[in-house]
Amino acid sequence: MSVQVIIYSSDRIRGGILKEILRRNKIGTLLLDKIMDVKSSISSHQPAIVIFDTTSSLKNEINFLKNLSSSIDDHFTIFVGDPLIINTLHDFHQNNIQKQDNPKIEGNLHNKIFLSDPLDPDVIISKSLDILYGYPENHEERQLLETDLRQYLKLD
Amino acid sequence: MATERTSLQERLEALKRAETGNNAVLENEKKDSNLENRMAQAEQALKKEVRSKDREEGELAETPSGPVGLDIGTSHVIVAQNERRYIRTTNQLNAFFTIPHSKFARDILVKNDVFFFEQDELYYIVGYSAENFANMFDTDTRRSIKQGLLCSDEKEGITVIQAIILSLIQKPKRLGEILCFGVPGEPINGIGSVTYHESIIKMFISRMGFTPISINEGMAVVLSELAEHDYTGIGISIGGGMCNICLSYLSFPVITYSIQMGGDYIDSSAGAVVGIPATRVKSIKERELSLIAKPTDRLTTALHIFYNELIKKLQKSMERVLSASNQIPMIAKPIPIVLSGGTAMPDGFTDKFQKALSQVRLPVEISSVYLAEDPLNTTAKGALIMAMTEEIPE
Repeated sequence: MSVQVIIYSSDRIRGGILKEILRRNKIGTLLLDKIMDVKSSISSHQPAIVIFDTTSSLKNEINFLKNLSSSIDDHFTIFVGDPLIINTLHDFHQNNIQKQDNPKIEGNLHNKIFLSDPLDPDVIISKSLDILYGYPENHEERQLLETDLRQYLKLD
Repeated sequence: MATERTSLQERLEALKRAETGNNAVLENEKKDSNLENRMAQAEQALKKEVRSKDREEGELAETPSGPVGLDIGTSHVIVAQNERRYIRTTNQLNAFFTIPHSKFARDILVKNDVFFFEQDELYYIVGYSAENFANMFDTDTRRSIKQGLLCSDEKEGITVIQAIILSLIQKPKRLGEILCFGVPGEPINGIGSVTYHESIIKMFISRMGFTPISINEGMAVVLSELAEHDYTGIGISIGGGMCNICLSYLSFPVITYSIQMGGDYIDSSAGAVVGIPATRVKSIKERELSLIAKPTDRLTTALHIFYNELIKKLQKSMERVLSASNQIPMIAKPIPIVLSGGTAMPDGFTDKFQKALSQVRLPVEISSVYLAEDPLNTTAKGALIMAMTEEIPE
């Protein structure tokens, strides 16, 4: 299976859970526990999504992660972790974008998702499926609902 | 999130990834046929009945011919092995008793097939024999492990625990055979070192010719009992010296901890107020205590009081530890709690615990509380399942 998502987490339990929930949804993943390995892995695997779990990361690693995540605008990025760190990362990216006066500001901001703890597997799956396939995980359920709604509104 | 159930193989691989932390390397691991066989055997073993027996005096230690699960508890040491149709466990009491060195005493011990060793002018009688001697002298046995960890105030502790393990198993038939043993979670009051305890046991087991791996005791309970719940839930082992708690999510031990209070606390506290040795309280408790029936005498009243105290401590610890943790993921469905260990066995314990738990607010919703199928052997069985999934290193 090709690597669709690269996960960085220095917390082996959380990293394992992230990998496991994605694997259950048949999403190919690569889990890395060293931030230094992330850049080269992105180059070689070209994943659609990079998930950065900031839990248990050291200050230096967070700084490295800030710079790295600004340089990978072609990839969707999901940040998860402690609310304080996630807010800092959000502010950092927002400021960065404003400074650049980049015409792609909206696009750049929209390919970064910031999710504060507690870790919510449902949300991460839903966002990942949405990015990868353009629909959330409960695709079948949604289709059924749409069918019901169409019948109710007599649109068919 | 998808609710698809995954196979044990996938669950255990995930658990092993968590244990080793070697995620990047394991990403591309090859699933050879040997691994598949081992996983299939472990999955089958989960369904087998457990047949348990106490180690008898004069019985020789076994030479394991396959993976071994080992539960080194404060009050018992249990070895689990996988047989064709069932899981076989052999129990030994984790206790010792010393008598002064003399030719007469030695002759008596040898003649009666008592398991003992000699050190510093003393005979160390270990296992069930020690309890017989203690009862004979109307006193208490001594322990190599106190409150779940190797005892620092018994200088012979390590030698005794080694002797007890050697009374159950010898060197394996195949060098490097996997032996998985249970280790406690870090005590919340921080007394004793789990790292020291684990390392000492690992060193000894390695010297015996096994490849030692460890599993958290609460996680072993989850592995043994919560397959149908996708290994998501809380496993609690309530033993002689401590309670081990593990919240597992999809087989990942998200929270593990222990409290250093268990059956020994109940026995010694009740014994102290009634004036009976703890060893005797323990045997009365195991034989006839019911927490449903009203206490009829001083001893059962004391036992009820100290059982309530233990349940309260456990309840409060869960409320504090789980509520303070930011590690717990959002879990969509209520999760079960499974209780194991000898101290959880009296009639009415599960109901009392469930009632106590309903009075506190936990960050996860609980669907049910139940007692493990075979509470005394749950940890050893979980450790065996883990051992069966490991490959012997080349």
